Amino acid sequence: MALLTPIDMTALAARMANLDEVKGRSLWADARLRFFRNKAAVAGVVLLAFCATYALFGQLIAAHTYDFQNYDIMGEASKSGPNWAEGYYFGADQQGRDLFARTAMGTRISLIVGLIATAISVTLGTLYGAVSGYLGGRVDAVMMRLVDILMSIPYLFVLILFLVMFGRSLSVLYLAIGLLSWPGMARIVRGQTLTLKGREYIEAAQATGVSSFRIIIRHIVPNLMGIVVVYATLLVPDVIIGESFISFLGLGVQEPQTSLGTLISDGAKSVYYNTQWEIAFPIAFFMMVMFGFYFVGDGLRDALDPKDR
Amino acid sequence: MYSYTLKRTLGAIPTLLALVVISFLLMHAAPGGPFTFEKQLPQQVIDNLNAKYGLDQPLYVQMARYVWGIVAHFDFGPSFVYKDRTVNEIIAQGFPVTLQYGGWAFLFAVVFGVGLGVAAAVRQNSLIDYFAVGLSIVASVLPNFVLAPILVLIFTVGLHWLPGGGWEGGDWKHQVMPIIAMSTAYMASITRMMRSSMLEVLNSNHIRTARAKGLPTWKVILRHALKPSLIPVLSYLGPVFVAMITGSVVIDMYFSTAGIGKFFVDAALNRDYAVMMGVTLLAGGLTILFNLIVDLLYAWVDPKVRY
Repeated sequence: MALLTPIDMTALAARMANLDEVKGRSLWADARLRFFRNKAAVAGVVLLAFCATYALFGQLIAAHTYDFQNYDIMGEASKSGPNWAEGYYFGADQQGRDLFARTAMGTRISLIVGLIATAISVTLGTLYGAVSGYLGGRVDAVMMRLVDILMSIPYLFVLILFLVMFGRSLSVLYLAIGLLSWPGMARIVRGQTLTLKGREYIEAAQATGVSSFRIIIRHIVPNLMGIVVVYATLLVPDVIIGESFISFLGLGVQEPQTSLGTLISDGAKSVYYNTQWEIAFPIAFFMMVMFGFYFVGDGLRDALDPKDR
Repeated sequence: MYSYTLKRTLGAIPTLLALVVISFLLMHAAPGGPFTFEKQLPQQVIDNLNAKYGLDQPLYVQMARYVWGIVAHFDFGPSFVYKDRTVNEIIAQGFPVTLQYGGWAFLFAVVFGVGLGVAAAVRQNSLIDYFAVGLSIVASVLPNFVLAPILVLIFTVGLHWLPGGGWEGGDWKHQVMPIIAMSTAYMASITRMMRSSMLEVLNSNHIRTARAKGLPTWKVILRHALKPSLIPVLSYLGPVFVAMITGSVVIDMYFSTAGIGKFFVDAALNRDYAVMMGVTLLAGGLTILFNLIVDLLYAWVDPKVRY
């Protein structure tokens, strides 16, 4: 230290000032870098972007509306195959309706249900888990006991029960899925909250007299965001599978609206008539959406949850 | 060990009761009674029907009766739609079928999942590893309702090897596709879990010690590595078991196998709440029982678990 002359110090200060500008990589920027280095994750983003574009604009490009029945090709396998000249890019279904427009509609409904139900589930699960973990003690024991009970309920059976009781509509569908699928999220969030609870900044907030509710909202929840984003992304495909499962049974959205599950079900019923396009295109889009979310979810986990690497 | 088993078993009782109460209240929250038809019945007829099924009693009496019926006599009450059949009869008819192919599917998923996972971990970065990883990625996006029609397209429509539906008293040809369709996605998850936990265990100290004292590889794996690496898979068995029961809804509808799923969907379409509740409760009860067994297995596999 004694060797440093005052001139050196000034130079050092100047250099440090310059260094500061280059620095500044936040946790999220770091995660973004890691995410985009992951080829599978980028492929997932591309797949999802493609499916979303098709879901949003597919019906505008389609030559026919999703509910127009063409009686000339109705029920005739030899005429209803993919036909570019007539505008039936993906062929037509048993009722002579354009599968290109219908698959676009189905993809859109499946994505909408997937995203809204996941949003409901994530909001509920995060708040429940954070409150349970933060308050601890007897409250925590009771709240987690309830989660155990809910997790032992056969989720798909109860979902069908809900739909039968409250009527079949899109809003009942995503509300029911959202209200039934949060316990898993709550468990993960609670575990994470328990580790956050002992941190110094929480103690500091408690010492300055901040209320429990405010600590949970301002200090706990923002620090849970990494894990919440990862598990939300991985929940979306599960939710879409649940929705498609219900629709496959004919208990989901009603005609002429459709979802990927309904389309797969229609295609599955007619496999014996050699109309493979009826099932191939819906399954292709279903799998693209699934792969997309799995790859993005995995990429996010690698990027945000360094424990797992 | 005995006191732990007893404590866990007693702990399951409030869970079961809560399940019964919640589902009972849910059933009553539903708009429209079981006797609401498109053609309105005369009020006198509805009153008589309500009296016959005990629906004119106060809610808590009805609930107490329902709960008592299940606890004391294992009686889920009469069906609201089929006058001559009880829920018990419907369950007795459908459940054995579901349990038969569901049980095989469960076994298939666990045996192949664990086997493939172990093989992939032991021969990491070999052909079999790539095969296992690739299969588990593809299969994870193939739920039963997607795989079932694909299988029919290949094995029934294309190759004419297997019948596309029916049960025929459980003939094996009629069970092959239901079992594969139900179990593949879960087999994939088990493979993935087993592979990663096995890799972790194989890098741990006690395995190095076992190798150092000169044990052959197969003995190291069977005697020392398999048990600890099964732990994460064990906790996944509960959800797989539930999926084998609920999955029968799709399988029964698509393959016309006469399992409980068919009765459940029929009940859903007819608003036969009594049957729906009975099946849901039974599945929930079995789930709790199954989780109990898994917990006890845990204590056996994981020495860190204290009773």
